[in-house]
Amino acid sequence: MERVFEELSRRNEVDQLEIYCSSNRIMAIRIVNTEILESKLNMDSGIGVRVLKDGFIGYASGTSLTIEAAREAYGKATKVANSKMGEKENISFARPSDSKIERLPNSSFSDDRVRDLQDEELAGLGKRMIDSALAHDRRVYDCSGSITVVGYEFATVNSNGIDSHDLGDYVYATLTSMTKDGDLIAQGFDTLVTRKYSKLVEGVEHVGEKSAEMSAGSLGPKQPPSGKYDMIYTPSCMSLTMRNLAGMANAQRVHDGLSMFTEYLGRQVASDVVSVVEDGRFEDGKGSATFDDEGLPTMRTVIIENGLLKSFFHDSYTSKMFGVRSTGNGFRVLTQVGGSTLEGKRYDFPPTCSSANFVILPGDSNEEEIIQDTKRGIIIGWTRYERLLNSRAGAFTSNARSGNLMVENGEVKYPVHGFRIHDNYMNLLKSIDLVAKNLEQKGHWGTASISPTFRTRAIQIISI
Amino acid sequence: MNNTISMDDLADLILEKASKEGATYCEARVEEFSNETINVEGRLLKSSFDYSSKGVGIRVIADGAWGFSSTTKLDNLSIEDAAGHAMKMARSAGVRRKTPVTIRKVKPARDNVVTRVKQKFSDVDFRDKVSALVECNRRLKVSDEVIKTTATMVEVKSHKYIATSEGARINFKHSMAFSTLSAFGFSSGVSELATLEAGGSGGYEAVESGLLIHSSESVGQRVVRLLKAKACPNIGETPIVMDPSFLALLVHEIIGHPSEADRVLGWEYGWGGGSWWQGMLRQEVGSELLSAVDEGDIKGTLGYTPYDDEAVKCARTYLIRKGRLVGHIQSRQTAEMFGVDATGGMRSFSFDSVPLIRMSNTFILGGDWKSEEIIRETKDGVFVKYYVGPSIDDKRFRWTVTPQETYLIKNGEVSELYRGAVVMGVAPDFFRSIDAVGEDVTILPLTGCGKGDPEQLICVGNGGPTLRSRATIVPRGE
Repeated sequence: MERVFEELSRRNEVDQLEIYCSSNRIMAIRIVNTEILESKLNMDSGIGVRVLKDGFIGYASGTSLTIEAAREAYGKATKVANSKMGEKENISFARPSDSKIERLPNSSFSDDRVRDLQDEELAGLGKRMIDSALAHDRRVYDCSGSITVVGYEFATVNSNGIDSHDLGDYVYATLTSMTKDGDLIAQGFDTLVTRKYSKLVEGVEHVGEKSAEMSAGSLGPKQPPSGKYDMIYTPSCMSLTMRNLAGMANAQRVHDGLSMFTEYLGRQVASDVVSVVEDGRFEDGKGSATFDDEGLPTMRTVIIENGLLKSFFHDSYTSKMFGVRSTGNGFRVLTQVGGSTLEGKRYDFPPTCSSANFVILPGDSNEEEIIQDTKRGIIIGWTRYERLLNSRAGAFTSNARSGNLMVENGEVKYPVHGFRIHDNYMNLLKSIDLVAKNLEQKGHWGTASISPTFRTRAIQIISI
Repeated sequence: MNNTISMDDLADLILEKASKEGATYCEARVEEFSNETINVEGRLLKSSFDYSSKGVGIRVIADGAWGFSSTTKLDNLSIEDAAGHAMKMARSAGVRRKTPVTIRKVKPARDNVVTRVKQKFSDVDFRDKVSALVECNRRLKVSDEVIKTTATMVEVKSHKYIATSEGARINFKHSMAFSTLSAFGFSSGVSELATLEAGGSGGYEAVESGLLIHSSESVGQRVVRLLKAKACPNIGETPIVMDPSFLALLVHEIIGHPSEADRVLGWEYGWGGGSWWQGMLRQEVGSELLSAVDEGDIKGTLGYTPYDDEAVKCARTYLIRKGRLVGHIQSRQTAEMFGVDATGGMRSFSFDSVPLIRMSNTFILGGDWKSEEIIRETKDGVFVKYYVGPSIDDKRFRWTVTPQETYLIKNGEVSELYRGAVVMGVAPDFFRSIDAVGEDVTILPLTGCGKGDPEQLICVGNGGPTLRSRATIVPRGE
């Protein structure tokens, strides 16, 4: 990379140059009808080149780590920058001084034993996960899911003194179990997201058991009437909610006027029992890394503290717009059709402001106490297709998929189904009154969330 | 491509290696793929990237299971390694399988297909493309209430060579282009969004600047109208007339996705979910006026797919015929399980992804009403146009789609505009209540259909005519 950087820099054709390289190894098994249907392996590496010339940026990428690919990408990127199209901006690529913090010691987000996982062992873990679901409840008749292992290495170097390198691995395992009892059918789900081999091998059977337990517990549901209910959100239902909430704290979206937090800095946006951080170094966090994809150190940023909106998270671009330092949140993520959706570190896109790990901090309560304290409410186990209806207003709708249980007078009474949660995120946050001590990372379908169980009051559901 | 090895030689190398190692089936996809994306916000060239990739994706059946491997390294050794990996993957999955994978027999197809392009995207100067998008944004910003405008143009090109161990050879050069306009408005605490997508297979003509620029002002005016409109009340259950611009997304969600045979079989429960009409083939699922198909070989559409990634020709597949469920979108494996012909339903985003059963162009067939007649013959109801987004349950049974525009119909006339409506329904009730189907079938581009893990986003075509049925209208939670 140094050789490539030196050669391209020596051409003196641009004001600033950034080169990003990554390589990824992604291995996965797919489970269908209680068997492993397929096993797959992707090996992928590439280079992304960004140039800045007279206030105009160009970006291009290629799929090999060769000098030829770098030259080709550089040529394309320079052509775009030289076209001088659009409005000129007073911008710069990341500099070490953009970061709020000095360089921290490298954290380790890599576990060699995850990195070295082979297909046979992975298949064996999948079988254990399936078997534990089948053994947990004899009514389980079908399982589907996956185990995916992602290993990556990436480096960023630029003409402003950025020179960073990091590597990491993570695994996620998911299982959906279907149960049948007479004419009744239900489904349940659990996941494990971790960077640690020991957690994976110790945890796969738990995933199977929990998915079977949720499924069996969802048999014979009733449909609750539309109305407002207290909701007890469990960690397993939070992945899309947290993704949407993280979007609200994204400085780019705030700047664009698309966030419900726009114009709310310093104001109450949640109840005083709620604190939220954006943490790029969360131990075992799926999104954790030593550096972001601009080469700046990641860090922990307090977003909400006791209900007050304290900060947004930034990359170097948004930090300049807001006159603050970057929080190390410049990542290369898929923003639209046309790029690879593979996991790992993507070279196909330029960096944009994006969340690493968005975390609701645990509280003092106990999950059982929350349930016992609830007169009339619903425990939310698993939701689906949560959709922002209006991002500035925070309006959302979500389908209650499974594992949803009616609580009456402090006791879990029966499963419920056939309703949609239809409310507003600001209302949801401001109505949280109890937050439990548990903190769990869960994930589904590419997203991950880190949150405790919490209760929020009087949330609208619609039954149809 | 690799300077010394052609696509077919690469494919032959893969097939030979897999055969030597005992694969009962092998499919090699050699692909060059490129994407040019230009995203302009206001007058700012927000991002522009030109992404290209080259590689191979190898699928094998060995020991009764599928194995998949891909690589971007195209030297002989790496290709052979990748084929070896695919075999290893299959074997480790196969050891534990009780039921071996079998696939439907097909006559191996050999063809050379090139998507017709009137004007190459690359022949249009970069500056002209950006200028067109800047002009779109200028026209979107019809007033100060429009606070953010975005115009995006994307071209995706692929040259795919698919070879199977059965002798199929498909050489497919394809390009498609699409564009999205978006206007976000904010005024006195009210916010609204209006969008428009255009595109199809072909070159620059698919997002032809003139048409795009011409449409921009109307999108901006739409958002301003919405800002001034009243908030939608709780209307409840009502007759509803759906314009194709709204219907396209609903068809995608409650006809397209549940028609994917892997969903019907329950294979997707771990992700997107299942289909409520599992086990209901040949049963009535809707009104006699309802017929729907999936059809890949429609030139000019965004879902244009003459052959799928299993090298099966994509024919018109009836999904619903006169209200009766008659078919699903099939892969060779699911077709064998259903005892029917493969429909050419397997597609992957690129060489590095496994193919999955996907829609191509899924749409409702036309009837014999004129669209204006449907409105005129509706005493009281609502008329919805354009969509914001969906939220559907896991069996595609209970659905929600948010329209951009919701109009009251009073005595056969379109009257008041509401903002912030949410349309909900239950699929079988909705299908059975269809009582008027227009002749104005329109297939619209839908970019970003997600499926699989990791998720693959592909482009499809969806739509139908103006039609009338019944649904429930509630307001957004604000």
